[in-house]
Amino acid sequence: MKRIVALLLTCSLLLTALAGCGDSEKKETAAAGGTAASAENNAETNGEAETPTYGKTKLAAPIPLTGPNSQYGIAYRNALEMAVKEFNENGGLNGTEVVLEVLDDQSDVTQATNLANQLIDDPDVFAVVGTFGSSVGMAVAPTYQEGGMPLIAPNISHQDFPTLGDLLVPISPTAVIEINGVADVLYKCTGEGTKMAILYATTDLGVNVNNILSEKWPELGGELVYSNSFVSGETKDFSALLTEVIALDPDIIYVSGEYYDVASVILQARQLGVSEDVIFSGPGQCFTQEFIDLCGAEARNGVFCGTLPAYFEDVITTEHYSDTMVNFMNDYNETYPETCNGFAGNCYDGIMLTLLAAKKVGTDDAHKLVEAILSYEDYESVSTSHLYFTDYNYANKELCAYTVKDGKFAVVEY
Amino acid sequence: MFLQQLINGLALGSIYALIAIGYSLVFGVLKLVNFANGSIYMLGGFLSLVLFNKFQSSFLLCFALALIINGLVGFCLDFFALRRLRKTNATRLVGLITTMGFGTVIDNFVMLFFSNATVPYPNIINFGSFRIGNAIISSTQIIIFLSVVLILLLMSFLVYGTKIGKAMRATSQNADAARLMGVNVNGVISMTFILSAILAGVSGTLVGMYYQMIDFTSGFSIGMKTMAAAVLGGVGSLPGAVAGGLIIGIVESLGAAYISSAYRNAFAFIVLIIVVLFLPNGLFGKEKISKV
Repeated sequence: MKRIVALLLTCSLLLTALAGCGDSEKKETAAAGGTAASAENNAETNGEAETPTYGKTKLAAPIPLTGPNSQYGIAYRNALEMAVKEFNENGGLNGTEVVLEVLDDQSDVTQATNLANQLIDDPDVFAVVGTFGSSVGMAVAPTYQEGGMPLIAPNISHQDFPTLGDLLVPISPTAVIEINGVADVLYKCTGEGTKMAILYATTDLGVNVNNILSEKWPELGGELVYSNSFVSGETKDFSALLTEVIALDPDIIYVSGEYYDVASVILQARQLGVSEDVIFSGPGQCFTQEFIDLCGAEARNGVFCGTLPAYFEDVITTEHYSDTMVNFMNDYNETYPETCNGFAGNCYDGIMLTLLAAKKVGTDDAHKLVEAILSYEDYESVSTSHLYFTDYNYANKELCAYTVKDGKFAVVEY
Repeated sequence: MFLQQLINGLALGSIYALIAIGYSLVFGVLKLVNFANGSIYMLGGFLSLVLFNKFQSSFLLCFALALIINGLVGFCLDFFALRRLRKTNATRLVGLITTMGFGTVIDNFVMLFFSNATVPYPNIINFGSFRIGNAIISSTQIIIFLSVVLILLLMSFLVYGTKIGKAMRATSQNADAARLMGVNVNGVISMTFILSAILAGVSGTLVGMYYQMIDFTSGFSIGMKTMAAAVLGGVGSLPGAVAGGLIIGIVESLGAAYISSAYRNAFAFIVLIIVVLFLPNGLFGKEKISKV
């Protein structure tokens, strides 16, 4: 009898284990083949088999409203409010208004993770737009992915971000795409054998930019003479680095950091006697009024390149700008005391795409929603002439290059 | 290149020294680590700028007004926060945390009411620069260095050559005994905070001019460095604070140039650890004799 009981117990344990394996295999298949499953769902949508349902109506935005990155968080918040108001005024989700919940993550990984855990458990939230920058975004992305919550990231450009999950939608191109383009533009502007020095912030993005540019520049025919890092925001004194750079006599100094880092380097370099023949270059983060206010005149002849647009009246008439972009800039500047910038533009694109896609396919299926965002056609972007996705969730945008003339941005012809 | 790096280090060290003097002053009297000093320094810089932008009048006048307001803020820190703690005989740790909280309030006040972005700062003390060999020295660097020397001399005279200085030293040695001798201990402590805040305001304005920009986070990292400078020199010693500031500035600059810029903050604290291991009271600190 004991043997029979033991045999039965063993069999039941074996069956349970096998069933468990089957489940986990199913889960793994579902995770790995999320794209395929979503594509299938999308096919059903395209076939108009289902009427969209809007059980969830809340859109959450964890962004830095306080702390060192609060100026970007404020731009995000303005764009979010603008987009949601406009969407609701135009009928919302077929009559249902979308509720926007803005939360302060302080650009702090711990705070952002706590908010992520809170949001994935909120039954009313259908998507999250936000987190500023790659350092925080890369840390919280797995939480959103595992929690089944779509994360639409306006400014995360780490090249690994799109690979972290099929529910992640970056609105910015990855650093690889952007910096390869930037290197081409800079090379066209300067020519063969140009000596480049790189100063980069010790952030995820800064380290990536340095790696990509250090490899790409010699490949193009330029010479890399110097590369060193600094702590963005904390390093105020660049004189030690610049003294080394000046001794190597570079033709171009590329600074990968925030606008104030680039401005500090330019101002301090001029104090140390760097001539006007040396070209200063920096990322799209510089396309702000604050940058011009800090070092406008000293940044003359620089080449500033990136996929963020520059919303300035002096350059707004060029071919890079559509009417949608101009209208967005005017509306923003009329509504808010802050000047419109590329961060607001990216954020507006992210949320508006999400809302339009949600209206089309409903808010109750996360994969279906992400598929709809990524495949949405005829969306008129406010941050570029054409925003589109390749390889599932890799964003593509046009590169903008500007110089500074008479203390104002001007388009670089290359 | 070494000479230029040395000049860079001296300029940076002068900035640390300038703030460390005020920091050391408070520690000397109260034995209290004033974590709000960095924030008060940033506030002073912002106040000069905001007043100048608002009234567009003489910068010196706005600067003087900013120093008065900054002094008042220092007084408020003592009057509203720390005096109550002294009454209840709270431990120094409570005082330390209170100063941290006060610093956070100042940072957020500036962020909300002045600016959350980095803003430009006019450099009105830029009279050009000149060369020594291959090295360049700017007039701003020289003025900052001279300010350090002048403030050190003034403060030393105040502490060691005046009646209020004697009262400060008496309060530092034994507050109860000083009170029994007729010293207005609370008044002396308030005066120390006012002086420290004024010095922080001078530093904030000069540093704003030097870097030609300011932001509300600039007080935090510099606050930590000046604390390291004061401890390195011997907390409570004014010449020690200056020496500590200069050493940390030079080590940081040379370390950033010849080792790695990413670890520049670490160099300051590595030097601090090494010095404190061998000289626990810092370079100029006096050994404290505890009588049982």
